[in-house]
Parts: sequence; structure tokens; C-alpha cells
Amino acid sequence: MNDVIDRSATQSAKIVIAGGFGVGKTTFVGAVSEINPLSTEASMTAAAAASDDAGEVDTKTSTTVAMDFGRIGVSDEIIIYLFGTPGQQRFAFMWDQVSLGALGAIVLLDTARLADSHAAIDYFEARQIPFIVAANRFAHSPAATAEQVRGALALPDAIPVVDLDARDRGSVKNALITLVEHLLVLRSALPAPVHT
Amino acid sequence: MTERPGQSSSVPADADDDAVDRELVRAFMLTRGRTRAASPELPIETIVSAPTTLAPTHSTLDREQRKISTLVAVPMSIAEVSAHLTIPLRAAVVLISEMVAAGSLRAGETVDTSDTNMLLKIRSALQLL
Repeated sequence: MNDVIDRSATQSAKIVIAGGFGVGKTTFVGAVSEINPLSTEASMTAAAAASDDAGEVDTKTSTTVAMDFGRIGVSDEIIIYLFGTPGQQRFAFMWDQVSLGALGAIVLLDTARLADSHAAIDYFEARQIPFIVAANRFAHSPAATAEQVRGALALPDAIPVVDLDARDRGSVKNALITLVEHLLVLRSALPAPVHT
Repeated sequence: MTERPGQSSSVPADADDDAVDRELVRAFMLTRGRTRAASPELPIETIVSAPTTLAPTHSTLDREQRKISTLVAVPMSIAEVSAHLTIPLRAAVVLISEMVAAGSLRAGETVDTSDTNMLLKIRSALQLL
């Protein structure tokens, strides 16, 4: 009766895809998800009042923001959910619910708008949620090497920086593998990659 | 407790019902105004499923809870329930956590993020995608 956790059932995990508007979060999720990305609604209610810049956001008592997500059936027993969450500071009210307990996060960015990723990076660093940074290739955006992105964002060497095409399944898959390998390095189950 | 079954059906809909932010009202109605579950809150990726035999609490479920119970005949995460039934995520977490605590639904485990064997398994599976 009290054994409400079903140990025989499927286990699940989540990975957070954080980034500013239009940076390709939903495209990223859709590229690998086995279902069409779904949308759920997170309400900004009491939490917004405590937020520093809630006044700038909206004067209504409640604002909702859509969060798109998809899933990958890793095996018969494991399902991974990918949650695309807005990376701007004003959406911080929903980050805890999405991020706590996550395997890790991918901070998706556009090299033309690097500053949009600061809030998400600060958040994951403060919460010690492992993350990698991925630059989505946009035709209109300046080309930047991983080292240039790392330098501009003052990222420690230990945090992987990759570039990808969010429309491309293989590219997105590689970013997810990079994240999981980063987790294994952090747990000393894989040697740290050598940066040249 | 003094409400009688059938009573609500005799209440006519107000002409201005549609002017109200229905989603917001619904979220609060669903949880009866609560924004936190009385029981420990489950993470949004938790897979929930209907028990194989009807839980003894089934007859006490309200309409929304029954909808959830029917939907998860196919196991799915709390986030998916929220999306399919257009219940705001916050309300879905509160409702489902309480249904699990009451034994009306079963909940799967979430992956132990410190389990390196599990991470290796996930990596291999991603490589095969």
C-alpha cells in the first residue's frame, strides 16, 4: 500500500536544453525526440513576485510560458526527457522545477547573442548542475571557434564547448553524448579530454 | 461534504465565463487552490502508470483525477500528462504527487545521476541512436 515507487517500471531522467528565444531549443529537441515535441505550460505566479525584475516582465498577476519537450527511449527501461527551457533571467522561476535532479544541461547559444546565455550559465554553475555549451550554427551569425566562445563566456577549460546544427539529428546526438561523457569525466569514470 | 451529486449540473453557465482566464482558474480549481502538494513532490520526468488492478481509492477520484488515471493506462511522465490534458505543469505535479501518495497511481524511479554504470549505458544507447 505504501510502496508507491514501482521498482519494476521504467526509469526516467531529464536533460535541460537552456537558451534564449530563437536559439533553436525546440529544433534541437525535435531532432532527436521519438515523439513530436510536446508543450506544457509553466505559470509564473507567486514566484514572480520574488523575482528581481518581475516588474519588467508583466504587470499581470499571472504569466504563462510554454515549455517544449521531447523524449528518447534509451532502452526498454530508461527514458530520457529533453526539456527546452527559456534561458533569460526572467524565467528563472521555472528553472528549479525543470533542472533539479537533471542529469545535466546543454546551454544552447547563438554566437551573435552570446550574452543571452549568461543567466543560464550562472544558474547551472551556482546549482552545481553539470552542463556543456553548444553553439548552434546560424548562417547570419559570426563564425567562432570553441575557444573563442569559451574565452568570451569565461568558461573553465573543464566545460566542453561544441558547435552543432540543431536541425541535424547526428549533430544533436553528438552534443548529448558529449554531455554524458562530461558527466562521466566529472565522476572520474572517464579520463578528462586533453585540450590542445 | 454537504454537496450532493447532481447539484452542480443544475447550475447554469454564466454568460461571461469565457471572459475569465480559463487556464488559470482551472489550475487553481484542479488543486483546490494549493500550489504545493501535501505529499513529497515528484519530479516532472517521473513516469506514472495506472495500477494493474483498480486502486481502492478509485471511486474517490474526481473528474480530473479520473482523466489522469485513464490516460496513464499507457505509462508516461508527469510532463506528458500535463501536455496531453493541458493542465499547467505546476498543477499536474501537485495532483499526481498526491494521487501517487494515495495509491491511486504508481510512479517509476528517476535515474540516480551518480550511477556511472547507468551513465555508461545511456552513452552506449545514444551512440546507437
